[in-house]
Amino acid sequence: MDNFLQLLIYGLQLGSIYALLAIGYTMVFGIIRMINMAHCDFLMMGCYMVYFLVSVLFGGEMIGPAVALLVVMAGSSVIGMVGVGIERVAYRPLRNRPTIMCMISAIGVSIFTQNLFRALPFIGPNPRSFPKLIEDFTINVGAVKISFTRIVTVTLSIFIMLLLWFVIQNTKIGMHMRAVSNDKDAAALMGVNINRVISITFFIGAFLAAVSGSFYASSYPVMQPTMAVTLGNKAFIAAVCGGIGDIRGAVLGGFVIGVAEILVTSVWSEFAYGFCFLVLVVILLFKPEGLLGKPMTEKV
Amino acid sequence: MEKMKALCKRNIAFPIFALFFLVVTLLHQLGIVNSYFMQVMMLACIYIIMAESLNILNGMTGLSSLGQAGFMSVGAYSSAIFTTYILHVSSLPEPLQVVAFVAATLVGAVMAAICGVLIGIPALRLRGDYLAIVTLGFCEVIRAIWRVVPADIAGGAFGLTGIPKLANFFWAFLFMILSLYFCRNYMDSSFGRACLAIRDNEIAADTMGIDCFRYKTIAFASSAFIAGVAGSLYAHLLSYIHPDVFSYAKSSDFLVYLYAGGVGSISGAMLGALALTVLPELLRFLNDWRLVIYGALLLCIILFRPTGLFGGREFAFLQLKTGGIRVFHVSTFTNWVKGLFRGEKRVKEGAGK
Amino acid sequence: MSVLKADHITINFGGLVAVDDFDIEIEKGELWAIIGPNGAGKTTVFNMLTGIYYPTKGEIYVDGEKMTAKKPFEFARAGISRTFQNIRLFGGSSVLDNVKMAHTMDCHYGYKDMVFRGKKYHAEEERITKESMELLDLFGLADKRDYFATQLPYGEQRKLEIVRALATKPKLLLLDEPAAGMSPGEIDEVIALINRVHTEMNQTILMIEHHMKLVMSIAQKIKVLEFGRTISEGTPEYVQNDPLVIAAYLGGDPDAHA
Repeated sequence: MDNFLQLLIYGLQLGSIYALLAIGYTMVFGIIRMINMAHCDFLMMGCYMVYFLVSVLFGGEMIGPAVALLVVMAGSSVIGMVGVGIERVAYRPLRNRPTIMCMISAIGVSIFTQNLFRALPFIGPNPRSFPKLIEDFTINVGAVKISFTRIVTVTLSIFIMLLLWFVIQNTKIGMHMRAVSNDKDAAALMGVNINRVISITFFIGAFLAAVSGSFYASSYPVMQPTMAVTLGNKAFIAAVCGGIGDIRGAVLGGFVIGVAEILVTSVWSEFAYGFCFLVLVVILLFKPEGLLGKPMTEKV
Repeated sequence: MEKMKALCKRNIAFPIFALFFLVVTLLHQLGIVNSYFMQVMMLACIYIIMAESLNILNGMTGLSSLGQAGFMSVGAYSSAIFTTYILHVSSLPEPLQVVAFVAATLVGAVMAAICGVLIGIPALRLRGDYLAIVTLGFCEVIRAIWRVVPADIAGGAFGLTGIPKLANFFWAFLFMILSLYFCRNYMDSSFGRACLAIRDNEIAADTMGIDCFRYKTIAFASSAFIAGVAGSLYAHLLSYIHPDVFSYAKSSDFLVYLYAGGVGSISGAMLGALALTVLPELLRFLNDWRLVIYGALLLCIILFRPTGLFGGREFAFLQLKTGGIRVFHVSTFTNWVKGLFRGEKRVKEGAGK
Repeated sequence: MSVLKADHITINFGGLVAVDDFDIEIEKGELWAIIGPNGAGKTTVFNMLTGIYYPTKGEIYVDGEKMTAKKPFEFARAGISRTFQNIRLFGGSSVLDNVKMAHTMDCHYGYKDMVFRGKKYHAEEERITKESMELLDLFGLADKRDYFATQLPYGEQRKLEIVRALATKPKLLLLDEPAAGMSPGEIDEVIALINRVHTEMNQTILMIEHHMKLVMSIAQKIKVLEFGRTISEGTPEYVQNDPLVIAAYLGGDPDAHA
C-alpha cells in the first residue's frame, strides 16, 4: 500500500508535467485543428533557456524558491515568444491548406530546431545537467517520501492550470479563444482578431511547455536536444485520451497517463511506453472523441 | 496509330530503367562510385516504395496514416524471421537463397497486408485526425510488441541481428519499379477511382454505390503490402533491425517525403523520396550543420511549394489516365525552367488546377 | 411493381419529429416532385430514401426489395441515385473521372485483373470510358472532360451531378433542388434537361424543388410537406388549388379559402 502511494506521488508529478505539455497540444488543435509535432521542442528549449539564464546570471548557484520561480517564468516567456515566432513563420502561411500540411511543416520545424541545438557549439549533442534551482528536502508521511520539488511541481502546475481555466472562462481573450475554436470564420465575422488569438494560443502553449520542462528537469536533471520527444509523444497521447481540443481533457489525460505509466513501469518497464499507446488505441476505438470530447458529425 | 504510339511510349520507359540500372552498376563495378553511394541508392529505392505506399492512403484515399513505419516493421520482422530462423538461409546454396529472399519478401508483404486489414477494420470507423492518431498509436504498439517478444524469436529489445544480406541494388531497384507500376495500375482502375472518390467526397461516393469501407480496407491492405515489401528489403539490406528504427520518427520521414514531393501524385512521391534521401548525403560537407540545413530546406519546400516539388504532376511514362491530368512532359519542365529565369509565372496547362 | 415504396416512414432527431408518416409509391416512368417551405423535411426524406438516415419507423422498398437498415451504397446498387442540394462533386478529379467513378459498382473485374492488367481490365475500362463519354456528350460536357470538376461554372456543376447520378443507371433518380441558385434563363434549361432525361431516357424521377414554375410545368404528381407532415398530394392543378397548400405558402387560415 505504501509502495502504491509512493508510486502514486511519482505518477502525479509526472502527470502534472504531461498535463502542462498536453494543454499546448490540445489548445493548438482546438484552435487551428493542427497536430503540432514540434510542440515538445518548446519543453527542450525551455530547459536550455533556464539553464543559460541561471549559469549566466547566477553562475549556476542555487538561488532560492522565489528567484527560481522568477527565472523560470522569465525563461518560459521567452520560449512563449519563440512559439509565436514559429507560428508566424512556419504555420501561418499554410493556414488555408489542409491541416496536415501544417503538421508536415511542424515536423520540419522539429527536425530544424533539434538539429540546430545539436549543432550550436555552446549546446551540442551531449547531455548536460540541469542546475539545481532550490534546496531540496524530503518530507516523510508514514513510509511515503515526498520531496519538496515534487510538491512544488504538482501544486504550481495545478495553480497554473486553474489560472488558465479562469482566463479562458472569464476574460475577453478567453472568450475569443473559445469563439475561434468553435468556428473560426464566424468568429472573424464577429470582429475577433484571429491572428492575435492564434498567436496568444501559441504563446500560452509554448510557455506551459517550457515551464513543464523546468519542472521535469528539476527532478530528472539530464538535458539534451532530443530529450523531449518521448515526453511529447506521451503528452500528446494524454491530450487525445482526454479529448483533444478540451483543456480539462488534457489535464485529466495527463494525470491518467502519468499515473498509469508509473504503475506499469513498476510492473513491466519494457512495455510502459507501448502501454501508453495501447491505452490511446483502446480509448480511440471505443470512445473516439476522448474521455471528455464531444462527438463530431457531418451534415448532409 | 494511337495504340502504336502508346506502345512505343510504354516500351521507352523500360529501356531507360534498364539503362539507368546498368550504368549505376557499371560505375560501381569500375569503382567510380563507392559502396556507400550504392547503399544510399538502395535506401532511396526502399524509401520510394514507402512513399508510394503512403501515397495510396494519404494521397489517393485521403486517409491520413501516421504509422506507416509500423507496417514496414511487420514486413521487416516477419521476412527476417522467415529467412533467418525458419529457413536458415545462410546454410542454403546460393540460387536457393535468392528464391528464399523473394519468398520472404512475399511473406513479409502478406503479413503486413494482414496487419493492415486488422488495423484498418477497427480504425476505419474513425475519421480524419482521429484516424491519423490511431494509426500512429497502432504503429507504436506494434513497436512495443517487437520490444517484448522473446529475444530468441525476434531479438526483443536488442534488435534482430544476423539477417542474411540478400538484398542488393538489383532487387531494391526491381521492387521499386514494380511498386511504381502497382500504384499506377491501382490508380488507373475502378479501385483507384473509388479511393479518389472517397477522398474527394465520401458521402457522394457512398451514394454512387461505392462501398467506402471495402475500398478503404483494400487501400489499407495494398498500402501495407507495399510497405511490407520495403520492410523486407530494408531488413535484408542492413542485416540488422531494431524496434526503435521503426518509430514514429520514421513514419514522419515518409510523410515528409510524400508531401514534399507532392501528395496524390505517384511521380511526386517518387521524386520526393529520392530527393530527400539524397539531399542529406549531398550536404555531408556541412558536418554538424547538415541536418539543420536539411530541415531548413524542407521547410522552404513546404512553405513555398505547398503542392510539392512536382506540383501534382505525373511522369508521362506512367501513362496515368486517372487523376494524372497534369502530365509531365519534358517541354513542361523546360518551360518551367524558362519561367524561373524570366521571373514569370509558370505556364499552366488548360486543365491544371 | 413500384420502383420505390416508402411505407409510412417517420424519423425523430432527439425529440423532434423531422418527418412524420411519409408515404409514397412511385411507378416506373413517373415524375414526382416534393415541395414545401424551408425546413419541411424534404432533404431528410431524400436522406432516408438513400440510406444516409435510417427511419425510426416504417419501411422502404426498392423494386419490392426491403431496404431497411441498408447503407447508402446498397441503395445505390438497388437502383437509387441522387444529386445534392449543396453540390458534392469529386472536386479533385476530372469531369470524366467523376462520371467514371459512378461506374465503380458496374465495373466487373477483380483485384487480380487490376494488378496484372488482363484482357478483362482493358475491356471493362474501355467500355466504361465509352459509356461515360457518351453520357457527357449527351449533356454537352464532352469537351470539358479534362477540367477539374470544381473548375466548371455553377450551372454545369449541377449538370455534371445529374450526369454522374445517371451513370449509375438508376431505376429512380432523386434530384435535390436542381434549379437552386439559377437565373430564370438557366431554369428554362434545367426544365428542358429534366424533361429530356424523363422522356428520352424514360427515367423515373423524384425531385425536390422550390421553383414553382419548374415544378408545375414538368411534375406529374406533387407531394407537399410542411413541418414533416404531408399536407397535400396530387396533380399540379389539384395541389395548386388546395387550400392547405395555399395556407402553408401564404400563411393564414386554411378554412377561409374553402
